Amino acid sequence: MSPPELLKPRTVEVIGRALASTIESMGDFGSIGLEVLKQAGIAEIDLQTWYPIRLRDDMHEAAHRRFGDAVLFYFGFCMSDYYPELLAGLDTQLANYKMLMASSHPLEHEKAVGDYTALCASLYDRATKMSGRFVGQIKPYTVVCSARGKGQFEYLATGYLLPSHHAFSRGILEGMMYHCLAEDWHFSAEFSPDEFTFDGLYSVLPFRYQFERRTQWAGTSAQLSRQYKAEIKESLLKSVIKESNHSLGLINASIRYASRLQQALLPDLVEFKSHFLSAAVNWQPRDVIGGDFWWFKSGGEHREGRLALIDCTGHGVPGSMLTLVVNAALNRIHENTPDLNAAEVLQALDQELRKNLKQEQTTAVWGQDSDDGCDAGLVYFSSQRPWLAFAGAKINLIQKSLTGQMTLHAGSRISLGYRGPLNAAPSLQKIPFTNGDIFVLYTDGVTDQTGGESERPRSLGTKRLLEAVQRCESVDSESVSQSIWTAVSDWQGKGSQRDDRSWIVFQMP
Amino acid sequence: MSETRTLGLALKSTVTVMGDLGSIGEEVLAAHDIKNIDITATYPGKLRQEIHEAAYRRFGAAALLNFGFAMYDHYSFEAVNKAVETYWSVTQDTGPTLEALDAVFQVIISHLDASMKRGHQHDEQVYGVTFHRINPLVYGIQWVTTSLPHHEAFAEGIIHSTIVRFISSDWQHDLVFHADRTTADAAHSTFHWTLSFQLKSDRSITCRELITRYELELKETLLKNVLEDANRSLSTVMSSVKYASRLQRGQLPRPERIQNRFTSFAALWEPRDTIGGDLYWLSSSRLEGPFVLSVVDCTGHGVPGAMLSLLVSNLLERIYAHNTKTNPAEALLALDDHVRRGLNQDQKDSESDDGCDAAILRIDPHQRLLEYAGAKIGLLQVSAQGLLTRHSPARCSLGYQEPIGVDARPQLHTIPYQPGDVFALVSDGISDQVGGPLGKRSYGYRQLEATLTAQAAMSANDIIEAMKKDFADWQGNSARRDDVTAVVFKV
Repeated sequence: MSPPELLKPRTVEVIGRALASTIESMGDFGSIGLEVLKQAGIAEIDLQTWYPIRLRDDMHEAAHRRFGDAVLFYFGFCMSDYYPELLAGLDTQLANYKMLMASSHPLEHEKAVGDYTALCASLYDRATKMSGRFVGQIKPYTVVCSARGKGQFEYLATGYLLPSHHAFSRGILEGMMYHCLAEDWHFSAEFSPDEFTFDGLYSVLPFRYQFERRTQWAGTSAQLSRQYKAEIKESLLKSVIKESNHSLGLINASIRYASRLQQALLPDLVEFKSHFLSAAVNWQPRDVIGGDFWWFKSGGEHREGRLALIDCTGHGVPGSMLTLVVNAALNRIHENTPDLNAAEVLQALDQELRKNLKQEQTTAVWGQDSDDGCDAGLVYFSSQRPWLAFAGAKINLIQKSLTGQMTLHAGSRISLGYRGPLNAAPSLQKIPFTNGDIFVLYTDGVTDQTGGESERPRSLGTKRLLEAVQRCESVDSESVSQSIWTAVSDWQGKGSQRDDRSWIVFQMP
Repeated sequence: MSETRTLGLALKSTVTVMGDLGSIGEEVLAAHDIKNIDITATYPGKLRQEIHEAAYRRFGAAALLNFGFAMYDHYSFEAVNKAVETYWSVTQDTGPTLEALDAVFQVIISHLDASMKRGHQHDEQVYGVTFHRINPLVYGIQWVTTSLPHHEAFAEGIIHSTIVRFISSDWQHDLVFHADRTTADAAHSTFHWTLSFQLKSDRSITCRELITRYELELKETLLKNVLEDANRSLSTVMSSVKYASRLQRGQLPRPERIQNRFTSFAALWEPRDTIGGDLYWLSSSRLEGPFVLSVVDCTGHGVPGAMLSLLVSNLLERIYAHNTKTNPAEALLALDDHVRRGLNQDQKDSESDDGCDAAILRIDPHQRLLEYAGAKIGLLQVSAQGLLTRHSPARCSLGYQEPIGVDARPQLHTIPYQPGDVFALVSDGISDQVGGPLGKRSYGYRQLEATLTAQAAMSANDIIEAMKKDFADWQGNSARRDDVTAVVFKV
């Protein structure tokens, strides 16, 4: 057999039962193991079947990468709980040890440790032979123990184990040592992982321990084992918290960054307001950043204006990233094809987004979760025209005349950019207005906000929103916006904000 | 009503007791601009509430229970110790008695009460711990505290820790919280528990061992919660990364922007961690005249890097929206300006200092002229005869807080070319990659140039393949250092 042949991952296998116990001993960390199985396409482990050792390596590696040595040591330490038959009859085997320790002669004690360490080695040896095998060749796992000097013993583990996962082996050894030894002896590991060798298949790991007789009663082995477990848990807790903080730091950094980008993309409010008798914008993402944003362009001798309110799928960082893409697409359409009307722009936006978002759909990985897009409301106006053009994709426009008459101009029941082409073209609405009319564009986060007086939370709904707009007596955008704000927050009460909420109020000159 | 205040000592012990979760406490303090706690000063009671709330939000009640349990070490229990000694000496012969339990329990509670009162300064409301006996072995405990109404687990941890510590080898205790009886005003919460004791048949298990067991249990629950939080955060990060990756790939030039413009064109685009700050970009195929090609390497990794690259590709799209008249040197300056303003880095107090390296080419196939300007990204040209020319970039980066000095501005290079000439743009992820026989040297440009020269007669695709192979051989087992991008083309 040529050397590269040796390196094939299938040459070492692990028994199903060992994999199962790995996952079980991982306890709450077990989900990491299950994740590995899922990726390998294994739904359930058959206890009697041999599996490629890769699986266990991957589980250990996934845990180790996130939480370091502490977690592997902990797995190892708990391992013997999952092989009760190994410990069956341990008491009789320990009788000899106890007899020697009862002697007053220190040499006898030394011998007792020797016996005990040999016992641990043979237990470990049996456990590894039960759980792993080399395929197609006779090259067994072995764990042997030998005395190296006064109170010093070396466990030589040869077989298959990634050297970077040495904490697992160490945990197994120490877990076994605690079954009896701890009561009489204090022991400390004295080896360096640098001494470990691994040729891709076969590893040689010498673990050295120094034993010292305890001079003071510290508790039974079982008590000490529990105490030690508490300490391990503590250090594990430390690693997990560290990782958790790290991830949270990444999230917060992303959020801060996204928030900055998003703020920078929003239109200039002063310029926007200059086109109207009055105007107010409420942009209220649920989590600092979100999928809602608004867009405004103006120009031409007649001070033409184009206003859009967009509600992208998702919240948080993904939602905000989508707003960057939609914003760019809108700009592109506006700049490349300025003559399109509002409804045509929505159609162009839909196509642009589908092209942008669906490119990867052919690959299975992205196929699942790529159903993203946006709702949009687009309003075109000009100082020359006594009407404005409105096209909406699931975003409506409220009109309130100076006489208090309310009209809801509903957008088309379509969303943009999602999988599959639009089932209907957005309609273009020509909305006449008179000087002083107030308009409100809003996202569905406003009307979908749950709350209310009744037992079961209900959505605010369009009717209550219209009432809030109508109720407002002052005829200016700021007051209308305030009235909506009050209505929504009162409705929400002590509940939480459900979605990004935005509305834009403007009063035509 | 005057404000509730907490003694610095109590606040400090809160942060200490949190142990490894303490960074949460330190963050809250930092948010209030408190660097060191003066243990003799008093602080707003709100601070401790906030610290507890931050931990509670992430790790649940288990965190507060742990804090409460560990709080014991920060109180002095001398008075209790005396009472406990009496308890053990009295019960040594008789075994545990109701009277002895009652006596020691009374001392424990009144001592807790005194400790609570010492930790806080307050005006009117007397807060602390009181108890009443409901029947033998069953007590009602009432605790008035500055904790938020849903932070009862903290007080519960304190009660557990004292009971376990002194009398658990005789008495098993069961603490039942009555959530429905919790009342709260602006400054206080009042909690109620029923504590019942049961006599143990065997006093051989020591209190100390029971503490260990109890601690182990608490740690286990906490560990579970922390792990859940870690997994939740990780999956949030992963989904953002996946999402960013999809958007980022969608921003790379589509085939229609590449078709009919080059004799051959090939790109290598390998972000280090699924997503990255590198991108390459081509101007719209709808625009007449020369077309524009750009390679950009944005600072920052992960999601922020990817977002910056989205911003940059949007900016390029805007600069070249109507036509491709802007020359590459001006375009770089425009990019510099837009990125700085896009990230609000022109503001004095900006917390970010990000930007990008870039090369922009404007290619006019009719005149066989290519304009190039670069900010830290150079252009390599190899003629069909194998003659190599390096067009050097300016040593400036774009978009950072500091605007580019007039002297450092990118220069416009106008480069005539012949059909068959090969051009290559590479990000520094290639030249900076360590590897080689010892895994210690940077890849540099020499090998890249050699490959380019040797393969000059081949198609862009073959050249990229050869570069990829050579680069992979060099990298060997070394870890990838940065995003890697290379664009090779012939016009």
